[in-house]
Amino acid sequence: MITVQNLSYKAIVENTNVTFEPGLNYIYGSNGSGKSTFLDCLSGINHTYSGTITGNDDLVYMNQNLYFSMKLKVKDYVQFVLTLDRAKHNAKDYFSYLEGLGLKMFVDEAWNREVSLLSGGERRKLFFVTTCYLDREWYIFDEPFSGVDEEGKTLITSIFERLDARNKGIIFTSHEHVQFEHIDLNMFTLQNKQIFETHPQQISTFTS
Amino acid sequence: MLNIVKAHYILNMKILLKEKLPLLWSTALPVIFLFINGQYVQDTMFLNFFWAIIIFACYIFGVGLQAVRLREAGLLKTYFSINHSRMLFFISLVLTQMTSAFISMLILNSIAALFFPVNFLEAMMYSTVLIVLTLPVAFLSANLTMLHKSSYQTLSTVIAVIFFVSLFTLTMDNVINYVNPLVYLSQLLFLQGVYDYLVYVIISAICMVTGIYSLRNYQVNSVMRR
Repeated sequence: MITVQNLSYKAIVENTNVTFEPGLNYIYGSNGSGKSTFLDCLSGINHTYSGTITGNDDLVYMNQNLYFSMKLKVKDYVQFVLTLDRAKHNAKDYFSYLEGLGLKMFVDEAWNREVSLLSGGERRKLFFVTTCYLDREWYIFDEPFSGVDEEGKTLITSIFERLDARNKGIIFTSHEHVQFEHIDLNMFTLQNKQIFETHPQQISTFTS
Repeated sequence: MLNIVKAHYILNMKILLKEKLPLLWSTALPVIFLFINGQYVQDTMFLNFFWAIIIFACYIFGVGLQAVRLREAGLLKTYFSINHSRMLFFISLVLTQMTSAFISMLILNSIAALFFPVNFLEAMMYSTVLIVLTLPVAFLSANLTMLHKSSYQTLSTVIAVIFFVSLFTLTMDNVINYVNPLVYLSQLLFLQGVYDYLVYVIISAICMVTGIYSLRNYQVNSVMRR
């Protein structure tokens, strides 16, 4: 469980109190409402906030914008992430995991290509599946569905379902209405610098 | 812990080998200056000025400015979202630049040994000692990360101007040399007596303490871009 108490950061998030339970947590907010700033604080990337956040020690966070040295190859990215992750995993496990998702051929083909030669969607897919491969209690994603085609959305949803089945915690943001058929969602809205729990009908109202 | 340093170190080395410009700065430039000022090279220890050029290029451009550049490019968000260790990231940057400096010294010393009255082994030994003695400079350069509102472009331009002014006045009898960082870096191999060592220890301690403070407060998010 991640607990946020009296969180404030500049004039973007003010005196926010919220608790996230394991499972799927969806934060809705319009563009520029402060979702990315909130996730930066929640993930520890930004530690200059006031207030307290507990339970966020074991997590991985995927930003909305994907950054990596464009001159390096896909294999450099994967090897870097796997080595950085305290060598809990190895390349063989990683490829077995990809095979389970039907993505082995995609990564095999891209393996020796420079990251800059991947399309935006391919890059997002690579970063997403690699992030989800890491073994953490919590997975945080900033706008994972943004700019993703239907096939990509299906992939993301199926990986979320797998993580949920393993009792992992997932927090993601979106400025669009998102629906899941097989998982219960805990929904939150970021509005007027505050986060509060919301019902699905209320989110439909925001997005209509 | 070692894995984090290893991951960053390997990645940094790959980036370094892909980007030719930093290698050019730290290797070609001192070699060119070696040939321009060849008449001053009477023995191995005369290479100390050229070693100082390499040290400056590696520790200032390669550590402090590189940390600013990576932040501005957004790469640190990717790195630290997987693992937070700011200090281990910094250690890997320093190790990368120590390696880079060693390679540059190796090339410079080899060329110097071929064309000038220089003992290669002696040159390698002293230049390696200098790489270690000047480590506090790498910590000092970490303070550049505290200048949040200065862009990488601005900082690198200012540092490049300082670097070139220092370089061109290095062999002149000029008042600027009283504040020339290359002069001080090159003289570290000639410390003598308690006073010299005391000054070195105090300045090193200041560099390291301020550097560690900057790293602890190192903000991953750039104010220049989202």
